[in-house]
Formats: sequence, structure tokens, C-alpha cells
Amino acid sequence: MTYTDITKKHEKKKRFSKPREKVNLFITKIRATLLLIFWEKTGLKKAINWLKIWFKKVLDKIYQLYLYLFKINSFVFVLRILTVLFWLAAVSMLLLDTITVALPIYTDSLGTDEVLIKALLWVIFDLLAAATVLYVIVAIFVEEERSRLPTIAIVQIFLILAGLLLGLPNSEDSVYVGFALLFNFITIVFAYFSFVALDDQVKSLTQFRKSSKVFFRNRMGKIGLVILVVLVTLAALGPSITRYEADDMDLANIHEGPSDIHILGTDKFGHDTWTVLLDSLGISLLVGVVAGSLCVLLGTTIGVTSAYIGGWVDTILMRFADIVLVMPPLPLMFLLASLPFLLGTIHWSMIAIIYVIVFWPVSAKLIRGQALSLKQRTFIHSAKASGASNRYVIFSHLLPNVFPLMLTMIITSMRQAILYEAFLAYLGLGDPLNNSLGLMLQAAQNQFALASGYWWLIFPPAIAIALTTLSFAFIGMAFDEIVNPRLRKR
Amino acid sequence: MTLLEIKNLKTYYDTRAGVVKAVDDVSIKLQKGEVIGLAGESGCGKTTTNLSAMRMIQNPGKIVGGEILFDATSLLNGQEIEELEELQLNPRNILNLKEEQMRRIRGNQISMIFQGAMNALNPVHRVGNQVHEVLKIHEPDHDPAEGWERVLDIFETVGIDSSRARDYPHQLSGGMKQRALIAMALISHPEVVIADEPVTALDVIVQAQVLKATKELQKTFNLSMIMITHDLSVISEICETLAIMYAGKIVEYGPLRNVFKESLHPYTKALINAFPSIIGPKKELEDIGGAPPDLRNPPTGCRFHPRCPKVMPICSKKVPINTPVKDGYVACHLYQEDRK
Repeated sequence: MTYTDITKKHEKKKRFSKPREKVNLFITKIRATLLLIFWEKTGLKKAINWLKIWFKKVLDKIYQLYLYLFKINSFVFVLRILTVLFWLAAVSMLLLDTITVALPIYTDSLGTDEVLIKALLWVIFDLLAAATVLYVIVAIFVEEERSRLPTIAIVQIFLILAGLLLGLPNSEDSVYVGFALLFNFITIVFAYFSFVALDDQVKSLTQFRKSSKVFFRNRMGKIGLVILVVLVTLAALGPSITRYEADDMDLANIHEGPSDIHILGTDKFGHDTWTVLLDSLGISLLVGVVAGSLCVLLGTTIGVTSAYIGGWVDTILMRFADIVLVMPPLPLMFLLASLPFLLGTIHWSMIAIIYVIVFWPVSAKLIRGQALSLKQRTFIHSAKASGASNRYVIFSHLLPNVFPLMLTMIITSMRQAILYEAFLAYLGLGDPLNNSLGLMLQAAQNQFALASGYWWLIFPPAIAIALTTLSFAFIGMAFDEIVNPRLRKR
Repeated sequence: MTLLEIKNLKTYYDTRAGVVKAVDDVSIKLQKGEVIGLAGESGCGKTTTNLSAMRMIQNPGKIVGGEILFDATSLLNGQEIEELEELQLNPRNILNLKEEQMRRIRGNQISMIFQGAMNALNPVHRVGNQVHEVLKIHEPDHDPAEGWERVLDIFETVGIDSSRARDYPHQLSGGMKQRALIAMALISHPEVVIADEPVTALDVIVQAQVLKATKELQKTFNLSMIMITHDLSVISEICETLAIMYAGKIVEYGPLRNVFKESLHPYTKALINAFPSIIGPKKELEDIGGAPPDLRNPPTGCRFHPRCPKVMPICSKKVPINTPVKDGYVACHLYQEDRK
């Protein structure tokens, strides 16, 4: 395609109004030139197109292979044998760990009493984890038990982790435990595919695939998920991807801009902004997730109770919700957030609780509405007519139907909670001992960052807040589409 | 043998605008293996009668009088029966039972078939599991694998391929959903089945299939059924006894043939004239003038008198009593005078 072709194409697309014609034509020409230079001439377009097609082809091939392999029983058989082998490997690693590392500490009476107790705990948990292998033998012979294999593998992992946390005299010795953990993860995956997915839950797997297809077809959902995964990974890796501790003070470099030593510069006390950012990202996400889900869980409990019982219980709960609802949320939050300072200090969990107190009525009202309409559906009467108790009706008929709404609300609520936490921290009502995104902004404000042009103190937390809330919003929208088929584009 | 007897049942809805006498002095006797059809206009109290029989009336409704006799003593233990007898309450009257005891009866000895086309199945559970849950509720100790076999069996019995038991409700057609609901009502081998407009939302062909299946099942299990419908053709298909309800009262009761061919009450006559017959001679369909009465203040005397073509002065003054006629009764002043 030549330069003139592109110009013509763009001209055809738009009919310009007369006064602006020249300007628009000029803009079009510039755009066309730029496109030509950077997009087509460099071969970038071709390369990206080719990559896209190639990527799709590879995915297709993998999927076809997966379909093909899973039709063959011998493949499943091999997979099952591998599962058992990996399991045995994991267990033998645990036994090795116990015999060569943990037991000698105990038997040789090295170290203090504390070390001995830790070693003993370590041995016990290792052996407990190893004992779960007995279950594998049962499961191989008893068909009904097979679906619980992955669950048992997860339990085993928890046991190993508990052993690690409770007693770890010197971490260099526990190479075996690491291997055991790795083998266990592989076992879970294999066990799931070879024992569970094929037997019984092929349908639910396809259901999951359908939902994930809808999710990933939504571009916003994809973007949101990628952003969130990146942020969570950064927060989780935290200390290992920086040279500093969050409270390290590099007094030689105060108010330094981004440089080789400090990627995102330093503040008044020489704190490394990048390290502090990673630290606060974790806290902010934690507050968001905890406060958001707790809020909706409480709201759901109250909403469903109120709708199901009705009568005066409904009246009291909903009037109470109204009282909280009519109060302006921000002043109420300030008021509540200042209370813990009477006791001394405020912890991030208190911020979460405050969020729950202020925002539960929103979800309670929504869930109540949904539950009220569900309560009148025939299947609820039908369940009652079959002799179901109220508890049974609520847990097995009402809640599963409320669940999709709950899920979307949890995501929305998490987003809101992150914002409010940042807001409170910015106003100085946060936990002063733990870093958080809002606190970073507050610190920047206190150091007159805006006036002095210390942009590296303002932009990182601001962008981090924007990205977290944005990712939650995007994911929420994509979930909306799964839950509500009418929103789907065809 | 009388299985279920509803005696002078009165169910009122206590609303803010006044007391709605939805069911007022209704009596029905259901014999073993009998199918009673309960017909009438919308809002005449058919469903309320049957929900009362299962004690599933919701607020603001209340059963204010009458008895519902059903022998459920096999589901009560000795202590519970003693307790009831100490209070001088009849253990056979299920209105005397506690809610928890009542739950043992529902779905186990008296079950209900709902109208299946709309929302009667929970969209988030597999159909088979929904049928299975009745077993889980009433036989908590049963072996799940064996229970699932029973579910598949009952699916085949009601005419659904058992491979569909793992489907979700939205994957089934209207007729299949209805059959699944029938399966749900029958799986615990109840003695009395109440069908609340089971075929109303289905098209005629599927209606016929489902009715046929229902009738066959009724015969094989020797079920006693109460069939609620506003469609007289459905009733003529399946029932042996017919009760016509109007404004919360049964106006005519008798064997199907008698009520159809020699209907006595003016309302029954009007109702039958209002729907076409395929076999009989062509005739102009007649509508019943006026609208159903407001049950908050029903008309005095006979509740049908404002719309009755044969209204007499006494009709608005005195409530007609049930006059026995061939194997049944009719509540109309026309025949009371004849008897005198």
C-alpha cells in the first residue's frame, strides 16, 4: 500500500465539513505518513500479524492434542501411573527430609529446648504429610474416593508448609522439602486430569471453559486480569526484587530523582520509593480483598436473612440499613477511623472493618432484592413441598442463585475498598506503621512534593492506585458479562 | 378407604384492605386411587385449598378453621403421638402437627406437582440432583449410588431418557421439565399427589402426552390425586370426580360424567357452555357475564347470584346448603326448593 492509497482510504471514510476540511485533511495526511513510517515500512504490522496468527495456530494445535490425547485410555493410564509415581517421590522426599535433617537434630539433642520442640513438630508434620499416601492406595481401588485426590494433595501441601513454618532450624537443609512441594504440585495437576476431570466432571470443565471463553473474549477482562496479575506478582515478590528494605534510610541520597541506585528515587528520609511502593501495594491489595469480600459476605448474610424471614426481622434490619445508608459515607468513615486512635493506633484490619460497617447496606439491599424475587419462584415452593427445611432451602436453592450477583459485587466492592483505604490513609487516618498507597501520597504531600517538583514521589503511588482500581473495574465488567448473558456481544 | 379428608376448611388472607376469604367452608374426600379434579376461575381458591392441605400457606394467609385428616401416624414416633393425645388433639389431623413433623409428610406422603414450564426447577442444579434431593431429605441414610439408580429409574418411568438426568433445566424442553417435576413428586412413593395446573403452560400436543403419562403412572402406582386446573378438557381427560369451585366455595361435586352431562348448578352449566366441544354439535360459545367477586366482601347469600341467569329473591339472602344429588352434592337454591 502506498502513501496515496492510504490517504485516499481515509478520505473516503470521512466527509469533512467545509470549514474544517483543510485542517482535517492535513491531520489525515500526517497520520497516514506516520502510519506508513512506523507501522508499515518498519514491518512491525506484518510481524505482529504473523505473531498473532502463529500464536493462535500453536494454541489450536495444543488444544487439538489435548482433545486427542484425552480420548485415549492408555494416555490416561500413563498419567495415572505418573501421578502415583510423583506422589511416591514427594513422600520419599519427605521421609528423607525427616530422617536426614529433622530427626538427627532431635536424637543428637543439638541446640536449645526450643529448637528441639521445633524439630519434633517438623518430624510430626512431615510424617503426617507422608501418611496421606495411604489415601492414594485407597483411592486407586475405590472409585468413589478418587474425586477427593486433589483435595488430599492440597491438604498434604498445607501439612508440609505447616511443618516448614513451625520448625525450620536452618533453612539450607530443607532442599528435600522444596522438592516434595514441587512434586506435590505436579501430582495435583496430574491427579486432577487423570482421575477427576475425566470421570465425572467433564461437563463442569466445559462449563468452566465456556465461562473463561466469555471472560477472555472480553478485551477489558483480559487487560484487567493482566494488570492485576502483574500487580499481585510485584507485591508478592516484593522484597526479592529490590535491594533495600522498606524502612531503610539512605541518608546520603535524600530527595534524589530516579537513578541507577534508586529506580524511582528517594524521599526526604532516603526511603527508596520503589521498595516502599512494593510494600504498600501488598497492604492496599490486602485491605481491598479482605474489606471487599467481608463487606459483601456480611451484606449477603443480612440480605438473605432479611428477605427469607421477612416480617419484623426484615423491617428492623432494613431500617437499620437505611440509617447507615442515609449517612454520608465519607464523614462517617472519618468518624469511625478516628475512634481507634483513642485506643492508641490503627491497624489495617480496622480500616477493613470500618469499610464493612459503612458499606454493608449497599450489598445487603441489592442481595435482599434478588432474594425476595427468588423466594417467590416456584422452585423454592417446590423444594418446600418436598419437605425441605428452611436451612436447606437457603443453602441449596437460594444462595447458589444469589452467587453470581455476589461475585460481581465482591469485585466492585474490592475496588471501592482500595480507593477508600487510600483516601483515609491520605488524610492521615490510616495505619502509620505500615506503608500504604494513600500514606505514600500523604508523605509526598507533607514533603511539598508537588511544589518542589518531586514527581517520583507522587506518580508511582497515584498510578498504582489507578491501575489497581482499573483492573478490578475491568474484571468486574467481564464478570458481568459471564453472569448476565444479555450483555454479551455476539 | 378415605385417604385425605378436608373438612370445612377455611383459609383467610388477612390483608391490610380486609380479610380475603379465599377458601370458605370447603370439604373434599379423597379415596384411595381416586383422582379428583378441582376446577374454577382464576382466584377462586383452588390453589389455596391445596396449599392448605400441605400446610404451605404463606403470610398473610392463615387456616382459620376446619380439619385436614390424613393418617401420617406412621411418620410420628410413639412419644409424639402421646404428646398430641395428652393435649387432646387428633394426631390424624395434620393441622395439629408441628412444622418439623409436617416436613416429614411433605414430599414423602403428600407431594405436589408444580407447573413446570416457568421456574419450578432451580436453574443452577442438575435435574437429576433436584429429584435426588427429595430422597436425601426423607431418607438421610440411604446409599447415594442406590438413590441415583432410583432417580434414573423414575426418569425412565415418567418418560425421560435417563441420560438427561445430568442436564440442567434449561437444556430440557417444557414437556420434559414437567415430567421431571412429576418424577420429583413420585420418587418417594407418596400416597397423595396434588397437581397444581401441571399442564397449563404446555402446548396441546405435549399436554396430551404429559396427561397420558400422568394417567398411566396414576394407574400403575394406584395414586390418589387432586388435580387443579381451569381447563375442563384436562379434567375430563384424567379425573373421575369433579369439584367445581366458585369464590372460595365448592358449588358442585360429583362423578365426572354426572357433572358434565347433567350439570345442575347454573355456574357449572355456564362454565361448560363456555368451552367448545369437538364431538357435540356446533354451538355458539356463551360467556359468563360480569367478573369474579371481590373476596374481601363477597356477595351475600349465594356468591354467584349477581352473575346467575336464574337468580331468585332468596339467593341474595340465604347461603345455599349442600343438597345431596346422585353421588354428589350441589349448593344451589334451585334444587333445595325442589326437595322441599
